[in-house]
Amino acid sequence: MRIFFLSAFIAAVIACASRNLPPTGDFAISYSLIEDAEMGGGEIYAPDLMQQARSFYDQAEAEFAKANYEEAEDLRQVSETIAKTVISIGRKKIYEDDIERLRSEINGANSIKRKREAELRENISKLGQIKDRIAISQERMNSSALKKIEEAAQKIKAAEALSAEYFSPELLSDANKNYKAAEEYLNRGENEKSIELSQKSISIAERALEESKRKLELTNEIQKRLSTIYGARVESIKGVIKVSFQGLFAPSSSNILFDAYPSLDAFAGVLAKYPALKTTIQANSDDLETQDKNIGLSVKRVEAVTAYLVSKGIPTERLRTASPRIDESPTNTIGDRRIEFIVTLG
Amino acid sequence: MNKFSRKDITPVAIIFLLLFIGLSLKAKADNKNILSQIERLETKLASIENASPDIPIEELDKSKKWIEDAKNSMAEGSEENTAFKKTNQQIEFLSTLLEESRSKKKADELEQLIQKIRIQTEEITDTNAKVIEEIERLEQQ
Repeated sequence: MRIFFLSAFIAAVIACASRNLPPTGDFAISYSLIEDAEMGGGEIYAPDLMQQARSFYDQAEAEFAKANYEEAEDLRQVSETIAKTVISIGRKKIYEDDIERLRSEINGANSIKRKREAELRENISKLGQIKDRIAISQERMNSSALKKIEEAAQKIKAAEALSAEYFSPELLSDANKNYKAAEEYLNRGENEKSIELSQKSISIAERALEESKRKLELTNEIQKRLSTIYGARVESIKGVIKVSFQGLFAPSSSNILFDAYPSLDAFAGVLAKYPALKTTIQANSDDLETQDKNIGLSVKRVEAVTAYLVSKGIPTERLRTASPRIDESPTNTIGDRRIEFIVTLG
Repeated sequence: MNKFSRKDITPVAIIFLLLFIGLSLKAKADNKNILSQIERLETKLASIENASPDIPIEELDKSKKWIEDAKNSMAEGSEENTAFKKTNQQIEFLSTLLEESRSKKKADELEQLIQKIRIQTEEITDTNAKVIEEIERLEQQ
């Protein structure tokens, strides 16, 4: 009998051990998952599943209480899986909400992007137009600068043609200086500055031209008058009038010959008529034996002519004397006793 | 004691016999039906496994194990369908995970897209500012 009871107890123990008791911790986890699902809004978006999860959980607890552990574990797992499904649905809902929000934001962002693109296209077009306009303007400016510089060159050339280098050397030099500077600026592409300097050069060259023209006309007029004086040999060289008188003096003498006075009077008359004229008086050598004697005689002759002109009312400041010219040519007798007047326009 | 004759017992026995046969056939049909549903779950699991690499492996392994458990339970002739319910629910859970994964992927894509649009818009705005600056500079000349 004892052996029978002992065997029955051992059999009961083995039977209980083979039931593989589920850990109660798993139930706590499952319960916690159901609560998480509920907290995440499971009741709202999956009420049926929530109900099922709770129902299976209750059934699992009931089976556990009845010591049906295997069945309890299966039911608990069903409950837990449903809870996890609800949580996953919750997360999916959040993502779906995100998708909806992002789509809306993308629409807004695309709208802003299209607006900015339109603005950019418009501004690029505007920039292109401005660049074209500037290119045309620069081309025109370059063309204008070229024309101006050509005009300046022509004006300078015209002034030079009227002997501006003698009649108006300072203005001509100034005009040339501005012309060269204009050329440099043109080469550097600074058209505006080039045009400005070309214009300045033109203006100065025009003044030089006018002055040269006036002086040339005056020179011609004076030359014409001087040419009518008896015994006067007149030539115009480099803006000055050179007047030569021969035989004004007796040989080896500084006394003016009587018949030379009308010519000197006529010359004094021209000087009187044009107060701006200045004269340099120079005497050529005579045929005396020594150079010193020749120089001395020449000086005296210049003094004699100067004194006569002064006596005719010509101010001394308009008369200048030059050193005597020594003529060393042995055959030169015509040159002897020659007096030269270098007339300048002042 | 002999209240019921043999004549009376025979029809009752026949009725019980027919009832037993009927119930047996129904149980067999039910089992066949559950088996086909398990096969359907297997197919669904395979498609989920192929559809997304984001599904946790342990959940996939668990599903496979539970399918096998459900099959074994059927083979042992157990009438309890809790194992099947558990497996069915697990596959449903995986389906939901797959949908969640797809939604997450879509949300990530849209997030990247909006970032891209914003960066492009900033670039366009910067370029536009430079163009406006150039226009102003040229207009001042």
